[in-house]
Amino acid sequence: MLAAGEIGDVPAALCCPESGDETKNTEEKSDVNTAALVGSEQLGQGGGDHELLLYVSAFIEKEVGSDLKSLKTLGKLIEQMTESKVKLEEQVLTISSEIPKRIQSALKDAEEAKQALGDILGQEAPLFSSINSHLLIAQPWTDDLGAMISQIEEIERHLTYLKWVSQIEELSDFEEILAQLHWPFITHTQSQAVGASRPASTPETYASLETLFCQLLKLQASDELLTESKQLPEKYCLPASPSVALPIQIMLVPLQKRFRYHFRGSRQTNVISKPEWYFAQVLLWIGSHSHFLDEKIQPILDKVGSAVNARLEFSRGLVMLILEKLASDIPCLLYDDSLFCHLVDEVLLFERELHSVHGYPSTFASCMHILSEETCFQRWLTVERKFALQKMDSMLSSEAAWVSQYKDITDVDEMKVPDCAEVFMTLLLVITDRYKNLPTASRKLQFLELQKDLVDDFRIRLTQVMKEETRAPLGFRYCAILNAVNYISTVLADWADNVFFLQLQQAALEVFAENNVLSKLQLGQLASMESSVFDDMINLLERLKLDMLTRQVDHVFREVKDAAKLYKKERWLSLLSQSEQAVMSLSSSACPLLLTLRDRLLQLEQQLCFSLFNIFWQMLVEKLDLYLYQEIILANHFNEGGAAQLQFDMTRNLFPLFSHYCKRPENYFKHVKEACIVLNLNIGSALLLKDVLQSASEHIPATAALNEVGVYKLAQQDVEILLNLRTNWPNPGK
Amino acid sequence: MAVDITLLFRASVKTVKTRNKALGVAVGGGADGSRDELFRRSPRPKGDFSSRAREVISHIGKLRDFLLEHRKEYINAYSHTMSEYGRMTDTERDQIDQDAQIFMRTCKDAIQQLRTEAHKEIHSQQVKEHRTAVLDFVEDYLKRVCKLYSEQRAIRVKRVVDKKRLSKLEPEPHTKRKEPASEKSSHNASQDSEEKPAAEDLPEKPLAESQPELGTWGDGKGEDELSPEEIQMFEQENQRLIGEMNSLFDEVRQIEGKVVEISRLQEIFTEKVLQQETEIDSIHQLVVGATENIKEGNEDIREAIKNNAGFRVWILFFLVMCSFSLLFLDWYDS
Repeated sequence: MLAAGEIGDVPAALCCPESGDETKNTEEKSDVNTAALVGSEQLGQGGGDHELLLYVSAFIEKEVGSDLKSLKTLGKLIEQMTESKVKLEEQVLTISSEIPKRIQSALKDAEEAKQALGDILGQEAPLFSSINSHLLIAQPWTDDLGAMISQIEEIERHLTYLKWVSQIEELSDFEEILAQLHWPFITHTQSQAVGASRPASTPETYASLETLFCQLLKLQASDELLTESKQLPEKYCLPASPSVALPIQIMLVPLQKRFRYHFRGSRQTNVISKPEWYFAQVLLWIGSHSHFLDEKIQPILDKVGSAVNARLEFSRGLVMLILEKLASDIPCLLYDDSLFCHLVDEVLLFERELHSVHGYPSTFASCMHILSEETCFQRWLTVERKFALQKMDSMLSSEAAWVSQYKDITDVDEMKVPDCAEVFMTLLLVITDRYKNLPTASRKLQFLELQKDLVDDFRIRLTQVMKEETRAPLGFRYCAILNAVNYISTVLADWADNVFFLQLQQAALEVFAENNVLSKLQLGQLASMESSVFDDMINLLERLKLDMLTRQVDHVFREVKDAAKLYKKERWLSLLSQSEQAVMSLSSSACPLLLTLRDRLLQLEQQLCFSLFNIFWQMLVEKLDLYLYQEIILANHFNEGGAAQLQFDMTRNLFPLFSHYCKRPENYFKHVKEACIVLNLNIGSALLLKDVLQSASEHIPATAALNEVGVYKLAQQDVEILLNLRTNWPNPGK
Repeated sequence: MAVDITLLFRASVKTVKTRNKALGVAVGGGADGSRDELFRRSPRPKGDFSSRAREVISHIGKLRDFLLEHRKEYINAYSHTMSEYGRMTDTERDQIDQDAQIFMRTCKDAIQQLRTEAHKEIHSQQVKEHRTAVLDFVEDYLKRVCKLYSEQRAIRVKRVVDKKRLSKLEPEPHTKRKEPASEKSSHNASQDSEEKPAAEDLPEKPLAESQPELGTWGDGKGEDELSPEEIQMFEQENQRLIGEMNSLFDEVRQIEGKVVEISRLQEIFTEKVLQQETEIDSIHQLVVGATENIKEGNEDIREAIKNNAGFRVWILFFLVMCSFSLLFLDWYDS
């Protein structure tokens, strides 16, 4: 019954697609067919003949229209309608005849499928039983296969291990190649190596070297293969740098062994007082291997495209050995001054050699980082200060301390610097050279503070020696001290413009800005480069210099005043007039004054340097000008002869004394010059000027009249006073 | 009266003409004589000598100008204040030293050669004296230039020594003297016996123990890795290294001492040279005086010889006259 139900459904499903197909076929045809179909359906109904006739007439009207000529198309229409009718009849016949056949075939297929399914179900039972039996039989085989698979996995692990072993063998091959090349090139076998390496250095050897080197470059170093040396502690602030390339590490291994054997163990060469031994040894190794690294290894690296410099990497590896050695040795000799100083000297020499000869860049780790460690650095500063002070003691107490070393060569000795000042500046320069290569700015600033302290200490010592010489301010030693102070301030001012110290100034500015140590004004001055790191020192030295010069000027001035007492009491009032004397000559009372002045000027010109002497005589002239004006001119009255004599003394005798030092010495004696002009005016001019001054004081200033006469600096009141000093006014009675 | 004046005038005119003729002849003769002398005085050797001497003088002058021009830079006085721009490098100073020395030696050889040739050639005494004086002046000029060079070189050496002394971060020399003694003693101790090296090793062991673990670990690992062959090879290298380092240190110290001595000796030498210059000048003056005295003595001797000859003539005359007198008396008696 179920099978009959299914058979009933299948024909319905089969009919629907066919009807769909027919619908599609119908739609593909033209509208004429559609109309025909509709027409045929309506005919099939049998009723509505009236409607049909209307439809046909409307159709004909639509197709033919009112044109009589188009009646010919009716034939075509009839033919088309006939064809479609035939087709429809055929379709109906086909459908009526084929559908039963299809239903029957479907039923047959269903029955066959049912039978096949039954057969398959019948076959399943024995198959299932056979499979179960087969699985039972195959179980031991599966176990055996699992065991074999585990063995295979183990074999693969062994294979991987063998690969690593082969890579390790490559390493040993590399070492063998190095051995053939007689690596490392120890100096005592250099000649033998040169002879032996010539047959050994065949192109095949170098080709093998290149191949192995490239492979090792690609291979990433693992900690298990090569144990890297431990990094030095953080307190040394070494610059972060990648580890040395693997092949170069392998090349460094024999040298590391030798270094540790010679200088880290119990050998005689491991002496704490001989750091130059391992420094020299490392420099020797770098020097003897540079050629090979540059000629043979560097081309391989360039070919591979690596940015590594073979020689510098090699040098860096060796320098790391030095750093480890220093890190372990320095705590042992911190409190022995001789050993510590010797070590620092040797470190600085090593650094200089390394940078200048071998081109070691300053960005790599170097011995200066070890010396910059806090404990060692403080010790270094202490020792520097101590020995600098000792050297200062010796330079000041030596016999030639105050004698210029260039005194025999007068054209070169412009500044007349005593030897102690020259040696002191050399000491400062040497200290600068020592700390110039320190890695951090803060360390350099600490050394700069040390230098400033030394300059201040030296200034204090000079001050003390100066105080001992105060009783003889024109003596040789006093002038030498003055020259020394001038020289030191000049050199410091010059150093302040040096690039190195400008950089230190910038670093100090940053530190002060962080700490807010200085005021904003001082920060501004530092930032705008108006002041410099040495300004405090220079100001103190300049003050000392000015104080000493003032003392000298006062001393000379006092002598000149003593010599001028007779001149001050000259009989200016009753000297003979110019017409009564045959020839004008110097006043006899002026001779001591001028002789004293001449001798002192000559003495100081010889003892002071040029710039200091310029300042000296200008200061002296200023005081002398005021003295002559106030104590001699304003304190006396002058007749015609007296005024003429005074002018003669000044213009022909005093002023020329200073003509060695400048072209127009009278411009420095303005008071005296203008006073002489006023005193020597003709009577008529004097009377006119006096009247002008008297009348001008009421309304208009008399500057023009004074300028016309040649007076520019003296005030009007002063000129009136001077005019009153004249005694050759005519009698009002005349 | 008019006639008398005319005659006097004519006589005067004749006299003047005669004088003019005489003067003309004299002037002509003088000119001819001087021309002959000039002609005679122009042989090639003198011209050659003059040009060569002048050449040497110009060379010495060039050397002197060069030294003076670069004097400040060479001495590097007040080097602390000068900028890097105009400063002369040490290599250039060394070059100046070499060139100056070669130049001075060349000039000295040239002067010696001229002196030898002047001595060989046959000339009058006056020419010889002239050339000798010229060469003396040239040599004196060269000596002054050499003195100028020696002065600035001495100053340069002094500055270098001073800077080197200051550049060492080490105590004063009196402390430095102790160190070599201790080092020598340690050196001798290490050489004398093997026990002392062991004794020296003992203090180092506590140091090694006091060292961080890094050192100990490094030592242990290094020694563990070394094979017996490597140990043997390293031991040999170690011995050789000790020998080389010690000899190197000794050589450096010897060189330093020698350099110091050389500088001192050079200072002394300079002073002695200056003293000798003064002494040589005085000796020269004495020699010149002696020469003049010898000339005067020669003249006196010639005069004495002449006087002696006159005396002999008179003696002979007297003897001859006596002989004739005897003959006359003998004839008169007979």
